[in-house]
Amino acid sequence: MSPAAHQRLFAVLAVALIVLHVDTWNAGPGPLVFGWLPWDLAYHLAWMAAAAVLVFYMTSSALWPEDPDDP
Amino acid sequence: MSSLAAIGLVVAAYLAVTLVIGAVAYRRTSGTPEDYFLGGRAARTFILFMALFGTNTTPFVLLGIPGLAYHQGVAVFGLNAAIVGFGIPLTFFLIGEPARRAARRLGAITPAELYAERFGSPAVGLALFAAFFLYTLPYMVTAVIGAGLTAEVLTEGHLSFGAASALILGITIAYTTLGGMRATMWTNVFQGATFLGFIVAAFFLIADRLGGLGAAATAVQARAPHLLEKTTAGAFAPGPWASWALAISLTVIAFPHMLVRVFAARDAAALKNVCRLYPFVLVLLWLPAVLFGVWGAAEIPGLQGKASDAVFPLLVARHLGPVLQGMALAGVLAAVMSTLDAQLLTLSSMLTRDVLRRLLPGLAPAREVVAARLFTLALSAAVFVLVLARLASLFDIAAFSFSGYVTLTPTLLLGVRWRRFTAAGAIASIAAGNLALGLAFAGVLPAPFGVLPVAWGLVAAIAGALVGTALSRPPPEPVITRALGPA
Repeated sequence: MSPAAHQRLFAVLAVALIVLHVDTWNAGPGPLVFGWLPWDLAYHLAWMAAAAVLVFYMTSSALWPEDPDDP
Repeated sequence: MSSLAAIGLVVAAYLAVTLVIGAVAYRRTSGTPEDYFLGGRAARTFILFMALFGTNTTPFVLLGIPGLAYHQGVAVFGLNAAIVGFGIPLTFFLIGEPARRAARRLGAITPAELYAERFGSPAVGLALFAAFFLYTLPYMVTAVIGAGLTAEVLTEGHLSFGAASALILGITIAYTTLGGMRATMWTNVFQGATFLGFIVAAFFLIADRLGGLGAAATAVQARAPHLLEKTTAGAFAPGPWASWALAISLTVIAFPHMLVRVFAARDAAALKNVCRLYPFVLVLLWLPAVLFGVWGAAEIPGLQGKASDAVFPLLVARHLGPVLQGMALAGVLAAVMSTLDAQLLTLSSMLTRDVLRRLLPGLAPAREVVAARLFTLALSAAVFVLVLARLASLFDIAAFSFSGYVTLTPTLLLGVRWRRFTAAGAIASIAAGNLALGLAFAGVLPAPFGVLPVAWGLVAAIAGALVGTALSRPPPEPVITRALGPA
C-alpha cells in the first residue's frame, strides 16, 4: 500500500474510533462485568484496547517514518 | 511509633531520595542553555515516557478525578481517560514529532522560540509566550493545592495546607534550579514510579478491605446505583461530552512543559515508544482513580461540592495503615512535583529565552541559566500567593487552563504541517480563539447542543488561522525551509 493509502486508512479508522467514543447508547443501567466492573467502564476499557491497536499502526514506519537527522 | 511519625518518615524518605537524584543530575549538567533546559536532547524511551507521563499526571487525576467520580460515577472514566489514550499519542504524531524535528534543526529550546523562528516573526513568539504563561500559571496552582489538601487530611491538620504547599515548592525549587531538565526528568522517573506503584497497590488493598472488588461494587449498587451507570444529562450529554473530549485530547500537546519534553527526545523511535505505552499506563492510573471515587461515595457519603476532592485521602486514612498513608502522601507529592518542576523550568526558560534574551541580545549563555534560576524563584512565590487564595475547585481551574491551551493547537499544528501558514494567520488564530473563549466563558456566546466554551475557542482559532493566512503572504521560502526542511 502507498503511504497516501495508509494515511487514508488511518484517518478512516481514527474517525470511526472517535465516533464510537460518543456512546449515548450505553446510557442507563447495565450489568457488572466479571461481577465488579460496571458496563460503562468495561466498554471504555475495550475502546482503549482498540485505540492502543490503532496507535501501534500509527507508529509503524508506513505512517511515521524515521527521521534521517536523528543521531 | 505514632501514625504521624510513620507518615512523616515515609514522606521524608521520599523527599530525601528526590533531592539526592536532583543533586546527582546537577553534577552531570553543564552550564549551556541546551543542556540545562533540554538535557542535551538525549532522552531515550524510558526516561522520556516517565518524564512525559509524570508531567502529565497531576492531582487532577489523583484527587480531582476521584472527587468527580464521587458525584458523577464511573462515566467519568469515559469522559476523561479513554479519549486521551488515543488523543495524546495522536497529537504527539501530528504536532509533537514535526515540532521536535524543527526545534532540532533550528536549535530552538522553547515552543515560542520555535514558532517565532518558523515564521521569522518575534510577534508570534510573544503571542504564544503570553498565552502559555496565562494558562500555565493557574494550572501550576492546581498541582500545589492538591498537595496541600492531601497533607492536611492525612496528617489530621498537623501539617497545614499552607505549610505543605510551602514545603513542596521549596523542595521542587531546590532540584529544579540546580539540575534543570536532567534533574526534572530523572526525578520524574522516581516520582512516576512512586505514584503509579502506590495507586495500583492501594487499588487492591482498599478493594480487599471493602471485601473484594465484587463486594465494593455491590455496596455501590445498594447505596448509590446511579454511580455505576452512564447518564446523558449534564456533562454526559453528547454536546458537552464531545467538546470536553476535544479539549482534553488536544490540550496536552499545547502544554508548553509537555512540548518542551518532546523536544528533549533523542529520536523519533523514543517518541513512538512513548505513544505505544501511553494507553496502557493510563488505564493503570485512571481505573483505580475513578473507582476510588465511586467506592468512596458508598463508604463515606455526604461530601459536598469540592470537599469530595479529599475522598481518596479519606479512603486511605480509613483503610490503610500509617506507612501506606505516608506512601499515599508521597504519591500525591510525587504527582505534584513531577508536574510543577516541568512547569517551573519551562516558564523560566520562556522568560529567559523569549523575553530576556530579546531585551538583552548580548546575554551570555551562562547568564541565561542564572537568570532562569532567578525566574524560577519568582514564579514559585507567585504560585504560593495564588495557592493560598484557593479560588475554585481543582476541576474548575484545570478546565479553564485546558480550554485556553486548546485555542493554541491550530497554530501549533499548522505551523509545522502547512508551509503556506503565515505569521498573521498565527496571530489572528491566537487572538480570535482566546477572544471567543473569553466571550463563551462570560456567557455572551450561546451554547448550541450544550457545547462547552472550548468549542467556540477552537472554531474561532481555526477561522482566524485560515482568514489571516488568506490575507497575508508567507515568510520567504528559506525561512520556512530552515525550520521545516525542504518541501
